[in-house]
Amino acid sequence: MKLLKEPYRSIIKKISLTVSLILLLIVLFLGYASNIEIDEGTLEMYHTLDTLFILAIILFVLFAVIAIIEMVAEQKELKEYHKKFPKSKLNKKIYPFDVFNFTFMLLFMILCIFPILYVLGGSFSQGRDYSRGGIFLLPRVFTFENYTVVLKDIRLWKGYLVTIGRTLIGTVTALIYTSIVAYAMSRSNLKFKKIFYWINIVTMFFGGGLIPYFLVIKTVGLYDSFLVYIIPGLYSVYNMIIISGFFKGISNELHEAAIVDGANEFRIYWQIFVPLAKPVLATVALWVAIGHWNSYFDTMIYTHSPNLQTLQYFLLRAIQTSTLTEGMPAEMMDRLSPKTLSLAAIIISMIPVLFFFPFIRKNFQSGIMIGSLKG
Amino acid sequence: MKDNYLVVKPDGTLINQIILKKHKPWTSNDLILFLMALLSVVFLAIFAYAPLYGLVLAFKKGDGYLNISVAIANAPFNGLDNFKEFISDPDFKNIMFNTIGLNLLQLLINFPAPIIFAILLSELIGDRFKKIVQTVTFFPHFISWVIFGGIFITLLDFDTGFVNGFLVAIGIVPKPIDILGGEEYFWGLIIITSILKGLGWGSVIYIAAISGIPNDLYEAAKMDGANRWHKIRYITIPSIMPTVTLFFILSIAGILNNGIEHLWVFQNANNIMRSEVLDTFIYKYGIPKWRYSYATAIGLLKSVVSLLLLIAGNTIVKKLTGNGIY
Repeated sequence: MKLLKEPYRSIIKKISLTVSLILLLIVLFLGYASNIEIDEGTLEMYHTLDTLFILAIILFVLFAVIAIIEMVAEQKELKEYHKKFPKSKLNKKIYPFDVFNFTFMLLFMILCIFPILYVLGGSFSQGRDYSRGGIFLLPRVFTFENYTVVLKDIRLWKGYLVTIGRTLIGTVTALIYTSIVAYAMSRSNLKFKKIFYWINIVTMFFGGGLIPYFLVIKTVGLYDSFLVYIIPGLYSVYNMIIISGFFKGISNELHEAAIVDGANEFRIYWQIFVPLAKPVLATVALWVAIGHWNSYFDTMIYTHSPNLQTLQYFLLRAIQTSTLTEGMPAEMMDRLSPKTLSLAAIIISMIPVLFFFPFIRKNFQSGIMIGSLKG
Repeated sequence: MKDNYLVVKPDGTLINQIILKKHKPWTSNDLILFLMALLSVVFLAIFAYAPLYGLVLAFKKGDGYLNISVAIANAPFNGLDNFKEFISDPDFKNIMFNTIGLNLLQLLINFPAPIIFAILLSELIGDRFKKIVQTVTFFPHFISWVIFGGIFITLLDFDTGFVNGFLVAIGIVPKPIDILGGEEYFWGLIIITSILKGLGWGSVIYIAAISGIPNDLYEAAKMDGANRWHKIRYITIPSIMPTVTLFFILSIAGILNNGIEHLWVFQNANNIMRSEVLDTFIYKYGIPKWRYSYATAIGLLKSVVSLLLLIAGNTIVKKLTGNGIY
């Protein structure tokens, strides 16, 4: 039984398998949660919990069925394939080293995943109960209140807005600016190429340092403006070298043909070279975007108005100085603790990265290869 | 512009003819390309060369000015006083010890770790498992130090953290340890967190290098009776050596750069004795305290030492292995 044609099938299988695994975890967790003590702040949400539980079960069954159908089909095909072309029996011996290696990798993976699961568990814990200590993964008193409180915090949404804005605008503008220079630097007919090259390279080894840079930011009027997130990041010599390395690899005949047809250099760059350089541009875009999304020190140094606080800076304040419980009524303060609140904030701010990670991982790996070959 | 040409005359004599080239006028395309490249100069003039000019502040008495561009214009020169003040600062020894010690430790542990990890990964049986390991260890790189630090601060908390609870429960330690507040744990904390966050990502470049090694080499070695250790020792390691050297030199150059975004999350008043490094010190004196000249001087000192280390590192590595970065 085949549900879909070949190119989509393996993707569908992978996605449904992953989603059903995640849903299984959610079902187990919700099932566990409905059997433990519920915090009074969440009592009115009790029915929501049940509804969510049922919804998760239905979705889980749906995705699991798709995944199983596709896997059975794949297995059948594999069997037929192996009937035609018998497997060459390479008897690989397993040495103690392999066992050690496998165990080590497994442990390291657990070390990478466990902290995130722990934070997830903690974010559903009642603050008062969590502060007693001794929670190893699952909450003892279940609550949604950490999330409702954090989601009501206007600073979180402002932070999200600033961060998304700077990531989108910053990445697009940086990519355009850097690739324009990269194109010019990749052409052998650029006049004064050597001089341009050295002007760029020198800055990779000498820098003014924090304070003189801060001085420049203040003098050009970028201090405490949204543009301070965008303009200083427009250009990077390192990314320029990577992109121009890729441009150099594009065949020169295309360029010559376009010149004969009367296109000028900018049009050649924009209409021929940019579309051809999509893989490297995507990689650099991801580097830049991740940098924008994760940085918080520029908020600390170059801004002071609360409207320019990024998501990461909001989180830092929440973790270090427990700003989340400011001005909260006493009966809520009794139940909540700044710790579990900041855990909920951590999870909320991690969701976009978790969502995009599967899509960007592959691109990143191939992109690094490009970088390592050319750089 | 002059060009030399060797011209053979009909009678067989060779003469060296000097031809004067004419300056060709620029076409519009030359101009467009030039303007495109000029964008980099405009940007670097403001954000790279202007700060270099700002370094004169290091030799001036410009602390406490409200506007730092006024400081650079009006403040009187005071020679090397700023540098002298830093060297005679009671914290000087401590800061240098932390900066260099922490970085040497990172160089010793965090530099080889991704290489070993990449080799172990390449020896792993099962392609699917390999991919899963790579994906999972990749992930921490994508989350910020704030989140990563926040997670670890939660895990290591004195009263409620998992680690203390676990260690006490299985009886390794009798009482919870104040890992976040104890200065003696700070370096270990930094090393471990940066391994966890950076190992998967750092190994990618070496994995790429290893996957580029031709398979015949290993097969030939197998014929000659080489075991796994021989293959690693005599094929894998020599093949990735150029990549290793390149990154080694680059990490020597960055030896005075402690990742400030990393340290800042874990630094607190209790571990300040072991967590204060040049970068955090410069920030604290420069921005909130307005000691512009003083902080600039320290920054300049740092860049000069870094540059010297880069040159020294490159020279030594070039002598030893024959390849460097320039």
